[in-house]
Amino acid sequence: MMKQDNQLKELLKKHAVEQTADDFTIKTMQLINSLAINTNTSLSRKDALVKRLLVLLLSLITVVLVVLSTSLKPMQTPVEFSIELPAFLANHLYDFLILFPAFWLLIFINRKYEKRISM
Amino acid sequence: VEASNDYLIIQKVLAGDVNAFTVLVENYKDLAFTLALNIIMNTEDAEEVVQDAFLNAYKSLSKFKNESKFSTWFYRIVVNASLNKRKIKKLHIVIEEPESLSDSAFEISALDNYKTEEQKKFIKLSIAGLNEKERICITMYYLNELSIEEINELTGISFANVKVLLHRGRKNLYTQLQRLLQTEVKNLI
Repeated sequence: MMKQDNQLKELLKKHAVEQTADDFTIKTMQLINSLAINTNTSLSRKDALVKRLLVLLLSLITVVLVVLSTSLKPMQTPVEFSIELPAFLANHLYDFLILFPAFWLLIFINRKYEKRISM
Repeated sequence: VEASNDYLIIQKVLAGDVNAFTVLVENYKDLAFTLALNIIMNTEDAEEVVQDAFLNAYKSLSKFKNESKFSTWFYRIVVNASLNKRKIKKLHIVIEEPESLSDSAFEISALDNYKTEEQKKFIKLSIAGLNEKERICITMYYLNELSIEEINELTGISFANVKVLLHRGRKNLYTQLQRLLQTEVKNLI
Protein backbone atom coordinates (compact mmCIF):
# COMPACT_ATOMS: atom_id res chain seq x y z
CA MET A 1 0.00 0.00 0.00
CA MET A 2 2.74 2.42 1.06
CA LYS A 3 4.84 1.38 -1.92
CA GLN A 4 1.93 1.93 -4.31
CA ASP A 5 1.29 5.33 -2.70
CA ASN A 6 4.90 6.38 -3.29
CA GLN A 7 4.77 5.09 -6.86
CA LEU A 8 1.63 7.11 -7.49
CA LYS A 9 3.24 10.21 -6.00
CA GLU A 10 6.29 9.79 -8.25
CA LEU A 11 4.10 9.19 -11.28
CA LEU A 12 1.97 12.26 -10.65
CA LYS A 13 5.01 14.44 -9.94
CA LYS A 14 6.49 13.29 -13.22
CA HIS A 15 3.42 13.58 -15.44
CA ALA A 16 0.69 15.63 -13.79
CA VAL A 17 2.53 18.89 -13.08
CA GLU A 18 1.32 21.61 -15.43
CA GLN A 19 3.75 24.21 -16.75
CA THR A 20 3.12 27.94 -16.70
CA ALA A 21 3.82 30.06 -19.80
CA ASP A 22 7.52 30.57 -20.62
CA ASP A 23 7.47 34.26 -19.72
CA PHE A 24 5.53 33.78 -16.48
CA THR A 25 8.48 34.46 -14.15
CA ILE A 26 9.59 37.53 -16.11
CA LYS A 27 6.08 39.01 -16.17
CA THR A 28 5.50 38.30 -12.48
CA MET A 29 8.83 39.80 -11.46
CA GLN A 30 8.12 42.90 -13.58
CA LEU A 31 4.88 43.38 -11.65
CA ILE A 32 6.62 42.79 -8.32
CA ASN A 33 9.42 45.21 -9.17
CA SER A 34 6.98 47.95 -10.17
CA LEU A 35 5.04 47.27 -6.96
CA ALA A 36 8.26 47.60 -4.94
CA ILE A 37 9.17 50.89 -6.68
CA ASN A 38 5.67 52.32 -6.14
CA THR A 39 5.71 51.34 -2.47
CA ASN A 40 9.13 52.97 -1.96
CA THR A 41 8.05 56.13 -3.82
CA SER A 42 4.84 56.49 -1.86
CA LEU A 43 6.73 55.89 1.39
CA SER A 44 9.36 58.53 0.58
CA ARG A 45 6.57 60.93 -0.48
CA LYS A 46 4.87 60.36 2.88
CA ASP A 47 8.17 60.90 4.71
CA ALA A 48 8.78 64.17 2.86
CA LEU A 49 5.26 65.39 3.64
CA VAL A 50 5.61 64.62 7.36
CA LYS A 51 9.01 66.32 7.40
CA ARG A 52 7.60 69.44 5.74
CA LEU A 53 4.67 69.55 8.17
CA LEU A 54 6.96 69.26 11.18
CA VAL A 55 9.26 72.02 9.93
CA LEU A 56 6.22 74.23 9.28
CA LEU A 57 4.86 73.53 12.76
CA LEU A 58 8.22 74.29 14.37
CA SER A 59 8.57 77.54 12.41
CA LEU A 60 5.04 78.56 13.38
CA ILE A 61 5.64 77.90 17.09
CA THR A 62 8.95 79.83 16.95
CA VAL A 63 7.30 82.82 15.26
CA VAL A 64 4.40 82.83 17.75
CA LEU A 65 6.82 82.65 20.70
CA VAL A 66 8.99 85.46 19.32
CA VAL A 67 5.94 87.65 18.65
CA LEU A 68 4.52 86.98 22.09
CA SER A 69 7.81 87.60 23.87
CA THR A 70 8.26 90.96 22.16
CA SER A 71 4.67 92.13 22.38
CA LEU A 72 3.87 91.10 25.97
CA LYS A 73 4.98 93.48 28.68
CA PRO A 74 6.31 92.01 31.95
CA MET A 75 3.34 93.48 33.86
CA GLN A 76 0.90 91.48 31.78
CA THR A 77 1.97 88.20 33.34
CA PRO A 78 -0.27 87.28 36.27
CA VAL A 79 2.51 86.11 38.53
CA GLU A 80 5.92 87.62 38.97
CA PHE A 81 8.58 84.94 38.73
CA SER A 82 11.46 85.66 40.95
CA ILE A 83 12.48 82.19 42.07
CA GLU A 84 16.13 81.61 42.61
CA LEU A 85 17.33 78.18 41.61
CA PRO A 86 19.02 76.18 44.36
CA ALA A 87 22.66 75.40 43.60
CA PHE A 88 22.19 71.64 43.04
CA LEU A 89 19.40 72.29 40.52
CA ALA A 90 21.55 74.82 38.72
CA ASN A 91 24.30 72.17 38.45
CA HIS A 92 21.79 69.73 36.96
CA LEU A 93 20.71 72.38 34.52
CA TYR A 94 24.30 73.00 33.40
CA ASP A 95 24.82 69.23 33.04
CA PHE A 96 21.67 69.01 30.96
CA LEU A 97 22.69 71.94 28.78
CA ILE A 98 26.00 70.21 28.02
CA LEU A 99 24.71 66.60 27.73
CA PHE A 100 21.63 67.30 25.61
CA PRO A 101 23.43 68.85 22.63
CA ALA A 102 26.27 66.36 23.01
CA PHE A 103 23.81 63.47 22.80
CA TRP A 104 22.12 64.81 19.69
CA LEU A 105 25.45 65.65 18.10
CA LEU A 106 26.53 62.02 18.54
CA ILE A 107 23.22 60.75 17.12
CA PHE A 108 23.67 63.04 14.12
CA ILE A 109 27.26 61.86 13.52
CA ASN A 110 26.14 58.23 13.86
CA ARG A 111 23.34 58.66 11.33
CA LYS A 112 25.71 60.28 8.84
CA TYR A 113 28.19 57.42 9.37
CA GLU A 114 25.49 54.75 8.88
CA LYS A 115 24.26 56.45 5.73
CA ARG A 116 27.79 56.50 4.33
CA ILE A 117 28.23 52.78 5.08
CA SER A 118 24.91 51.82 3.47
CA MET A 119 25.87 53.73 0.29
CA VAL B 1 16.31 22.14 3.94
CA GLU B 2 13.76 23.53 1.48
CA ALA B 3 11.92 25.41 4.23
CA SER B 4 15.12 26.94 5.63
CA ASN B 5 16.20 27.95 2.12
CA ASP B 6 12.85 29.63 1.60
CA TYR B 7 13.27 31.42 4.92
CA LEU B 8 16.69 32.75 3.89
CA ILE B 9 15.28 33.99 0.58
CA ILE B 10 12.40 35.71 2.41
CA GLN B 11 14.87 37.45 4.70
CA LYS B 12 16.80 38.66 1.64
CA VAL B 13 13.62 40.01 0.04
CA LEU B 14 12.60 41.75 3.25
CA ALA B 15 16.07 43.31 3.46
CA GLY B 16 15.42 44.97 0.09
CA ASP B 17 16.65 42.41 -2.45
CA VAL B 18 13.43 42.22 -4.49
CA ASN B 19 15.01 40.04 -7.20
CA ALA B 20 15.61 37.25 -4.67
CA PHE B 21 11.86 36.66 -4.92
CA THR B 22 12.51 35.17 -8.40
CA VAL B 23 13.75 31.99 -6.71
CA LEU B 24 10.41 31.55 -4.93
CA VAL B 25 8.50 32.22 -8.16
CA GLU B 26 10.62 29.66 -10.01
CA ASN B 27 10.28 27.04 -7.27
CA TYR B 28 6.53 27.24 -6.76
CA LYS B 29 4.99 28.53 -10.00
CA ASP B 30 4.28 25.15 -11.62
CA LEU B 31 2.88 23.40 -8.55
CA ALA B 32 0.78 26.45 -7.67
CA PHE B 33 -0.44 26.62 -11.27
CA THR B 34 -1.35 22.91 -11.23
CA LEU B 35 -3.28 23.43 -8.00
CA ALA B 36 -5.13 26.49 -9.33
CA LEU B 37 -5.83 24.77 -12.64
CA ASN B 38 -7.35 21.75 -10.88
CA ILE B 39 -9.69 24.07 -8.99
CA ILE B 40 -10.56 26.55 -11.76
CA MET B 41 -10.16 24.30 -14.83
CA ASN B 42 -9.18 27.22 -17.05
CA THR B 43 -5.55 27.83 -18.04
CA GLU B 44 -5.69 31.62 -18.42
CA ASP B 45 -7.62 32.18 -15.21
CA ALA B 46 -5.36 29.80 -13.30
CA GLU B 47 -2.24 31.63 -14.49
CA GLU B 48 -3.75 34.98 -13.56
CA VAL B 49 -4.68 33.67 -10.11
CA VAL B 50 -1.14 32.36 -9.50
CA GLN B 51 0.37 35.67 -10.62
CA ASP B 52 -1.94 37.56 -8.24
CA ALA B 53 -1.08 35.08 -5.50
CA PHE B 54 2.64 35.84 -5.94
CA LEU B 55 1.92 39.58 -5.79
CA ASN B 56 -0.15 39.14 -2.62
CA ALA B 57 2.52 36.93 -1.10
CA TYR B 58 5.14 39.61 -1.83
CA LYS B 59 2.94 42.32 -0.29
CA SER B 60 2.34 40.35 2.90
CA LEU B 61 5.77 38.74 3.15
CA SER B 62 6.55 40.70 6.31
CA LYS B 63 3.55 39.01 7.96
CA PHE B 64 4.87 35.53 7.17
CA LYS B 65 5.89 33.79 10.37
CA ASN B 66 8.38 31.00 10.16
CA GLU B 67 5.99 28.78 12.12
CA SER B 68 4.71 27.09 8.95
CA LYS B 69 6.37 26.29 5.65
CA PHE B 70 6.34 29.01 3.00
CA SER B 71 4.80 26.51 0.57
CA THR B 72 1.81 25.87 2.86
CA TRP B 73 1.34 29.59 3.47
CA PHE B 74 1.58 30.32 -0.26
CA TYR B 75 -0.75 27.48 -1.31
CA ARG B 76 -3.32 28.88 1.12
CA ILE B 77 -3.23 32.16 -0.85
CA VAL B 78 -3.54 30.22 -4.13
CA VAL B 79 -6.49 28.13 -2.89
CA ASN B 80 -8.35 31.17 -1.53
CA ALA B 81 -7.76 33.12 -4.75
CA SER B 82 -8.86 30.15 -6.87
CA LEU B 83 -12.02 29.63 -4.85
CA ASN B 84 -12.74 33.37 -5.06
CA LYS B 85 -12.30 33.25 -8.82
CA ARG B 86 -14.92 30.51 -8.96
CA LYS B 87 -17.09 32.34 -6.40
CA ILE B 88 -16.91 29.37 -4.05
CA LYS B 89 -16.53 30.11 -0.34
CA LYS B 90 -15.45 26.69 0.88
CA LEU B 91 -15.50 23.20 -0.47
CA HIS B 92 -17.87 21.98 2.25
CA ILE B 93 -19.17 18.54 1.58
CA VAL B 94 -20.62 15.72 3.60
CA ILE B 95 -19.80 12.18 2.67
CA GLU B 96 -22.18 9.92 4.53
CA GLU B 97 -20.78 6.44 4.46
CA PRO B 98 -17.49 5.46 2.92
CA GLU B 99 -17.99 3.14 -0.02
CA SER B 100 -16.23 -0.20 -0.17
CA LEU B 101 -12.73 1.16 -0.22
CA SER B 102 -10.76 -1.82 -1.42
CA ASP B 103 -7.86 -0.71 -3.59
CA SER B 104 -7.92 -1.28 -7.30
CA ALA B 105 -5.81 -4.10 -8.62
CA PHE B 106 -4.17 -1.72 -11.10
CA GLU B 107 -0.40 -2.01 -11.25
CA ILE B 108 1.38 1.28 -11.92
CA SER B 109 4.18 -0.63 -13.62
CA ALA B 110 1.71 -1.38 -16.45
CA LEU B 111 2.42 2.16 -17.66
CA ASP B 112 6.08 1.37 -18.19
CA ASN B 113 5.23 -0.19 -21.56
CA TYR B 114 4.21 3.23 -22.89
CA LYS B 115 6.25 6.23 -24.01
CA THR B 116 6.59 9.23 -21.68
CA GLU B 117 4.25 11.34 -23.81
CA GLU B 118 1.59 8.64 -23.76
CA GLN B 119 1.99 8.17 -20.00
CA LYS B 120 1.52 11.90 -19.55
CA LYS B 121 -1.63 11.83 -21.70
CA PHE B 122 -3.11 8.92 -19.71
CA ILE B 123 -2.38 10.55 -16.37
CA LYS B 124 -3.88 13.89 -17.39
CA LEU B 125 -7.00 12.24 -18.80
CA SER B 126 -7.41 10.15 -15.65
CA ILE B 127 -7.08 13.18 -13.37
CA ALA B 128 -9.55 15.12 -15.51
CA GLY B 129 -11.95 12.20 -15.13
CA LEU B 130 -12.04 12.51 -11.34
CA ASN B 131 -14.74 14.54 -9.66
CA GLU B 132 -13.79 18.02 -8.49
CA LYS B 133 -13.15 17.31 -4.82
CA GLU B 134 -11.23 14.12 -5.49
CA ARG B 135 -9.10 15.95 -8.06
CA ILE B 136 -8.32 18.81 -5.67
CA CYS B 137 -7.48 16.48 -2.77
CA ILE B 138 -5.28 14.25 -4.95
CA THR B 139 -3.43 17.32 -6.31
CA MET B 140 -2.90 18.82 -2.87
CA TYR B 141 -1.79 15.58 -1.29
CA TYR B 142 0.49 14.10 -3.95
CA LEU B 143 1.73 17.14 -5.85
CA ASN B 144 1.70 19.98 -3.34
CA GLU B 145 2.63 17.51 -0.58
CA LEU B 146 0.15 18.95 1.88
CA SER B 147 -0.86 16.85 4.86
CA ILE B 148 -4.48 15.77 5.46
CA GLU B 149 -4.69 18.36 8.29
CA GLU B 150 -3.49 21.11 5.95
CA ILE B 151 -5.97 20.08 3.23
CA ASN B 152 -8.72 20.16 5.86
CA GLU B 153 -7.64 23.65 6.93
CA LEU B 154 -7.29 25.01 3.39
CA THR B 155 -10.48 23.61 1.89
CA GLY B 156 -12.85 23.29 4.83
CA ILE B 157 -13.39 19.61 4.00
CA SER B 158 -13.37 17.63 7.23
CA PHE B 159 -10.40 15.42 8.13
CA ALA B 160 -12.45 12.22 7.68
CA ASN B 161 -13.83 13.40 4.34
CA VAL B 162 -10.35 14.27 3.03
CA LYS B 163 -9.27 10.71 3.83
CA VAL B 164 -12.31 9.26 2.05
CA LEU B 165 -11.81 11.55 -0.95
CA LEU B 166 -8.15 10.57 -1.21
CA HIS B 167 -9.05 6.91 -1.08
CA ARG B 168 -11.84 7.26 -3.65
CA GLY B 169 -9.68 9.51 -5.80
CA ARG B 170 -6.88 6.94 -5.86
CA LYS B 171 -9.30 4.15 -6.65
CA ASN B 172 -10.99 6.11 -9.43
CA LEU B 173 -7.63 7.21 -10.83
CA TYR B 174 -6.51 3.60 -11.09
CA THR B 175 -9.85 2.59 -12.64
CA GLN B 176 -9.57 5.38 -15.20
CA LEU B 177 -5.99 4.40 -16.02
CA GLN B 178 -6.95 0.76 -16.38
CA ARG B 179 -9.80 1.69 -18.70
CA LEU B 180 -7.57 3.95 -20.80
CA LEU B 181 -4.89 1.30 -21.15
CA GLN B 182 -7.45 -1.34 -22.11
CA THR B 183 -8.88 1.00 -24.77
CA GLU B 184 -5.37 1.64 -26.04
CA VAL B 185 -4.65 -2.09 -26.27
CA LYS B 186 -7.97 -2.70 -28.06
CA ASN B 187 -7.14 0.07 -30.55
CA LEU B 188 -3.77 -1.50 -31.24
CA ILE B 189 -5.41 -4.90 -31.89
